[in-house]
Amino acid sequence: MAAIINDFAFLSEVSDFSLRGLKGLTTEYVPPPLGKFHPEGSWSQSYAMYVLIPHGARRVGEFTLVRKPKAAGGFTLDVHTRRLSVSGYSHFQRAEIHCKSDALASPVSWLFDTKLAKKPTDPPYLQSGRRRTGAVRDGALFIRDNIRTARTPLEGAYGNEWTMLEAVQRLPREKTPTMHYTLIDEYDTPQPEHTLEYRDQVTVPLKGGHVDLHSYCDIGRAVIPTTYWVDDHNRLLFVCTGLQVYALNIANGKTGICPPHYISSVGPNPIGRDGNAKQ
Amino acid sequence: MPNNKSLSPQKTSSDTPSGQVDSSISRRSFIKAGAAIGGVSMLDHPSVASALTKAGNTARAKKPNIIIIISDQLNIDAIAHYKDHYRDPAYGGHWLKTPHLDRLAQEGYSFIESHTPDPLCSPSRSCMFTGRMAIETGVVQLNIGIDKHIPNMGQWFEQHSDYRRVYCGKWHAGGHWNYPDVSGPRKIPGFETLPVGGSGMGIYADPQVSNSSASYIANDHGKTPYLLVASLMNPHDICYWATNLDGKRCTPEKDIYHLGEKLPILPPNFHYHFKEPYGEHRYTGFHSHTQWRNYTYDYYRMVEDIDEHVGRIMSAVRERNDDTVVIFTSDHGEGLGRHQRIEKWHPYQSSVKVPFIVWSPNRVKPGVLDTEHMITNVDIMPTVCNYAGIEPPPLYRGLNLRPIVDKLGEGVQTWRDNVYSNWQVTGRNIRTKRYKWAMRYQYSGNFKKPFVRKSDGEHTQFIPGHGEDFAEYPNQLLFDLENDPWELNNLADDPQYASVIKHHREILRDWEAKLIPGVNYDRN
Repeated sequence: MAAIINDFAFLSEVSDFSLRGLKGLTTEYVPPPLGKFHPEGSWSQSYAMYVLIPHGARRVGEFTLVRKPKAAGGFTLDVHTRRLSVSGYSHFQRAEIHCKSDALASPVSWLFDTKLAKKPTDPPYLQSGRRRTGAVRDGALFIRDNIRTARTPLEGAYGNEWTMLEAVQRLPREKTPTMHYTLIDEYDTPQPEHTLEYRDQVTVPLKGGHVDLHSYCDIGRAVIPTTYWVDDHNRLLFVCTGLQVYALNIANGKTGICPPHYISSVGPNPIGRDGNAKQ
Repeated sequence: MPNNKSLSPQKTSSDTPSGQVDSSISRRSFIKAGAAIGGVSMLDHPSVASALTKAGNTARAKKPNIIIIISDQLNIDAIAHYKDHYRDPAYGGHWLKTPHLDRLAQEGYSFIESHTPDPLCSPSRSCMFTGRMAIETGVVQLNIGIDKHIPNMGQWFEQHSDYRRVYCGKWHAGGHWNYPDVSGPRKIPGFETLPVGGSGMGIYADPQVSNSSASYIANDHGKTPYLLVASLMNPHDICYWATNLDGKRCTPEKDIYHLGEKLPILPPNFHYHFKEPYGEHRYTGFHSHTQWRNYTYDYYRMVEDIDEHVGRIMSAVRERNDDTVVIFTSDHGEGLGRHQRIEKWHPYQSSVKVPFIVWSPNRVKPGVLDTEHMITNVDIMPTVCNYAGIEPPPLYRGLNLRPIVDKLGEGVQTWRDNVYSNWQVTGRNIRTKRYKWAMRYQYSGNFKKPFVRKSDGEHTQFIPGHGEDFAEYPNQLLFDLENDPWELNNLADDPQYASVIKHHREILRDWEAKLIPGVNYDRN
């Protein structure tokens, strides 16, 4: 019998602790309709990005994952990220990643670019645009830009911070041996000594009714312990890590409800001035 | 008995009986005065002058790109490369991996005795980008603007060089805002802006900073060199772990992630037994040792994340293989359970010490771990000005580091023998080679932040150390850092150290006689 989380006050264990970041969101959040969701098929998902600020959270960007299986095996994952910035600008990142269908959705090769602009179609502002490629082969990570290729040793199992969001939607919802791997962060930096494991199940009240959530926990170098929350259909609904929360907002074109900000408790100055959280 | 060897103050060429600066003083004298404060006048020394001439000629012949990478709230011992120096297992280097910062240190010149002028974001940054002390910039607290009479680094370079000036990331050295706009009142004067940030959280903003800075470097084809500031936010996010997010949200009381022995041990000075100056308190919001250790564990993960961002920027620098000088530092440190403190703004070493690395394969001595020269972040301004072949602004308070770090530098025969810093508006630290003395002024007047009060409708300056409104709070701190690096034994009440305190008090008086309080703030 899963624990029912209806009062965040008593939270103490790992799942409950990670869910603290959702306090205030769950009363307003409605997941997008399930529709036809097959984790190993074609799908698209968009997530709202929140950062936790005093007494609540504020929506600061979004990202979209588009999964396309390949006939020859494996799949392609397109990742479009938009982080809101200042002066009407955003930081855009776009990647096309060719992945294995293994437990970690290990990326094989990818193209990624980054820029600051007001719109995705605008040219980069002030020399801020850059395109690179990445690949893993022969026990090494290769990152190539216009000038040269950098090689970094990479041995053993590995994943990527964005492909992990796909991987956890294909994992069994039960205790399995802990996976040890290297996380390729931000498309270019290997961070070894990570572990991923299934933790537990809880039932959480959302605006539209209760939902059973299963958690996977990622611990390792350069990352605050991160909890992935998937529902009974293996859909990833939430990611909670330190000050950051992702919430599934759009699935295969169908939209849920993700508020622009949420309040977790009553207190002074819940939202910082113009996006600057109170220092 | 205290070691009296370091107690003989060296005369400075800029000492004046009045402590005032004559506005008619020549430019050359200005520079000498600024360089001499707090130590000897470097420019008077033949070997230094020679080194400067050589280095200066090189600089004028070919001016390097200059990149200043700033982290926020990074402890100096939280760089793994330094763990052979910081051997106590409670130091950070034993609990994390920082391969990119390690490489920067291996290839560059590290100062171990490096200090912030004020262990709080806004004051520290105002000093870094003006070369003046916080009292002078007027930024003695958060969210105050820099005195309009004092040029920042961007403005100075704009007026006196052909450098392009670009700022990317956290500013917070003027006004109630963190990230600069590309135009309008929140644009930093003198700098163009790479528009990043938006949330005030490092986990969200720092990827923007490192990617955008690296792109700028990779794409650059300008005919003139650039001055680029890449200002990262983390590990500042730790500020929200304990105090702001409903108290407990980000810091588990139990070992819920089963980290076991991966949780860092508590520092030796977690428990201590001495009275502290007014306003200094232990943090009482954590309820278990495990909670403190979880806090520390998460802090080190943020440092590893910063390491990644530094690696991304440095990768672009190395790929270009241009003539580039990189300076890496932090605005202040982090309490991290030492003296049961969180965050910063304290007089202790955890808040005051910062990492400081100068890197340039063509110019800077590689692999040096300098434990001898005491430096402070106001040294950045005269140093980057010298690399750019321009003179520093008038009344700058720092020292040019090039004679020490440059391959062509001949070193220095003499160097400053003390470092002055502020904390919590009215707190003062005087650091000498062996000792650190901390005290706090008591202000009995109608104190109004930052330090200007209305008197009969007129502004009255808070001139520290002067006037009948100022006394000292009891409970000074005096630490023998050579024998007590964790600051466990306060020697201030021991009569045999009376002469040591007297000497430090004299240094403080001399310093504050020379500083010119700022008055005209740019708030927005």
